[in-house]
Amino acid sequence: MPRESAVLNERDIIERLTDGSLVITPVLDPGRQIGPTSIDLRLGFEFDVFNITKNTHLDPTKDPEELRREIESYTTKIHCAPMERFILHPGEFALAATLEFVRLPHDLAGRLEGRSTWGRLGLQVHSTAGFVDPGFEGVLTFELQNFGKGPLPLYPGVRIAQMCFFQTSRTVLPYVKKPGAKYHGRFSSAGSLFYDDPEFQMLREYQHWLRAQTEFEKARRGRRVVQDPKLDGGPC
Amino acid sequence: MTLKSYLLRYLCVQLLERTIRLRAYVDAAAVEHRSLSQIAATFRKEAQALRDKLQIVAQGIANAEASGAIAQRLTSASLARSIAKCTRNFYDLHLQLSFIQGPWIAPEMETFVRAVCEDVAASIHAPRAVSIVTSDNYIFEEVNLSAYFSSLTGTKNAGATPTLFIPKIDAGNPLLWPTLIHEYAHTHHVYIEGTPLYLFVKGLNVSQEARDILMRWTEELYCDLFAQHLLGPAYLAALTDFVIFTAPIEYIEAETETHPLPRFRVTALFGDLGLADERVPFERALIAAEGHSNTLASISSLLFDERCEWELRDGAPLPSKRQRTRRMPVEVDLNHFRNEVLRTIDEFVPEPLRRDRFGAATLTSLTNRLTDRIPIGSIPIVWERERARKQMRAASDAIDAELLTASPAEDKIEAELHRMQDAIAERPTTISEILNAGWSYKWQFIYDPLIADIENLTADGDADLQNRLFLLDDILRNSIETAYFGRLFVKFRPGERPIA
Repeated sequence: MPRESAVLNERDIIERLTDGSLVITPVLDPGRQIGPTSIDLRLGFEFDVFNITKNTHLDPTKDPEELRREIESYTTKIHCAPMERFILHPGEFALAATLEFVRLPHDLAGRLEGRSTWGRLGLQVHSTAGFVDPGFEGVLTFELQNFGKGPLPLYPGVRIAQMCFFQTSRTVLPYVKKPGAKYHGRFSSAGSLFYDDPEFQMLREYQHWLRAQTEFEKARRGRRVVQDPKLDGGPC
Repeated sequence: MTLKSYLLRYLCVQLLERTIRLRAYVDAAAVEHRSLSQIAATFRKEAQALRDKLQIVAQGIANAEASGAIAQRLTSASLARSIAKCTRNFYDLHLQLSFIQGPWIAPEMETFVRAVCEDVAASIHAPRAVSIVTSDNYIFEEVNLSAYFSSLTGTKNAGATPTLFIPKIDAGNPLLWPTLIHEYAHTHHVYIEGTPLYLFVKGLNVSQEARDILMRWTEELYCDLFAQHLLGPAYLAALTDFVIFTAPIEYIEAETETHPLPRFRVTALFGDLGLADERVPFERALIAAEGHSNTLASISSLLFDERCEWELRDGAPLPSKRQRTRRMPVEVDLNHFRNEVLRTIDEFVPEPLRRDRFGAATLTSLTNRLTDRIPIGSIPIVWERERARKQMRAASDAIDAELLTASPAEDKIEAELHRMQDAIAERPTTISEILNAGWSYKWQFIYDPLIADIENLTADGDADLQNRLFLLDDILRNSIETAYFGRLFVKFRPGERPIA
């Protein structure tokens, strides 16, 4: 009997996983991972932590390559092998990724949420970006933050988040085709690529143009200074 | 395409891959350490020059094929020699990586070695852990660092610190990691000395010098067979890839004091796989590996014969940096030795490890998943998707029907739901499955198209090739680590309801 609902229930999720339209792998323990309307996701092995650097700020109008280097110097990758732990101290922020690789079909959107087990300890798994577009594939990035008072030991493989799915009509603009889709097909956490946004490209272009104009003005004034004997004050 | 053309094309593609990896390695180091930017620029320039040379050779191969000149011995020899020179350039450039503190040893490599060592050490007396470091020369090796250090300082307190060396640019390339397991096997002194071949060599009536050489060969063969036993043809593939690549500078057809004839090593490995009498139903990787063996056999004869002629003709050989062999004393009958290897081949691997062998049953499915860019750290338990879907639908309908009744039977609903859940459970794959699928994918979808289209191997396509190679690396590394975690999870989780 076909079910029509906005949020997929456990049987819908299982059926989608079986027919291959929804990919979440590995699913090692479906009995514990699949809830009434969600599937639990595990923590992956890599963490990006933020450094104290001599950079005053990340200037998006800089050359993207230079900015990329600055962002890389701004973060350090920490890899925890299986059974090792990462400690997230109170107030700290780190990026991480799901252990699972996820691929959404063109008629499902997803939402990443924390598990209450961890929420009660103060762990937040995303700051503002919990929505997953249809057609997305890759590991999902966690924006981890410890709002509690004590350090949290995080072991790769623990279930810290859950994902639920929304049935939509089939989109013709899945994530991969979305202009500027920056985080598609990744296998580890991805730092921000904000400078790739066209708004910043526009800003860079504008600043480039402004600099060129200023140089041009300077050069023109300079020429006038040299060429104008009255201003130059020297013999002509 | 003739075999000769194929081999030359194959060598070009191999060298191209290494050049791309070298360049990427230097670039990554420069991003990490700004002070390296000038050195990186110098490397980049030289790598580009090497890339340009390679382009000319590739075009030369295509032209020679078009004109039919490739069949002429002098033309093919000249092309092979050009590739050999490029390979030597690469080798020398790689040596200069000593100037660069590279960015990393892939952490997944440690997981890979750890996973293998832990399994092995649980069954036999072998190290549970080894250290891995990167090397500037393009070789893999095992060194007891304690002994080495004490030899430097003249102390006599050498302990055992087995350390494996991997070329810098391949530290992130999982398809060559099987070679590390060969190196790891060098630490198994007790088992090496227990092989029937070792005892055979010990009993030979030959000079001490000859016996020492044969014992070292025995050790190498043990390590080969051990690595293949654990990893299946992925080891054979890694070995042949390495041997073919280094052939132009390492005299493939020559025995050395430390290593037996490469062709014989490969023959022994094929014999161990049971390929000779086709007892084993091999899938794609094995078929590809067989093709690889033909490649190896052919290239060795091609290169060796031609090399002799080059050396005579222009007196400018490309000497190997590896210590060349003195000729084996005539008293040793090598055929006798080789026959003994093949006769006792099933007795090389320590008895407790003989039970588990690589099985190729899931290889096609895993390779298909790679084609779909899905990691292969686990694999669905139910393979026949259509059947599973029908079962799933039936179970789901049964639940719906039950829910519509006046008093739904909770236990029946729960049982059906468990059936559904069990159907989507995945089992962690083994490392050998991952690596064999990886090789199979690489041959089919990366190397074959490049070999077929070598005349269009322009630098414009390098970025795309790099992306494809690194994407494969990423997927395989992710899979290795996920699989390792999955195996620990399955082994140690509380067993409330075992998966059917």
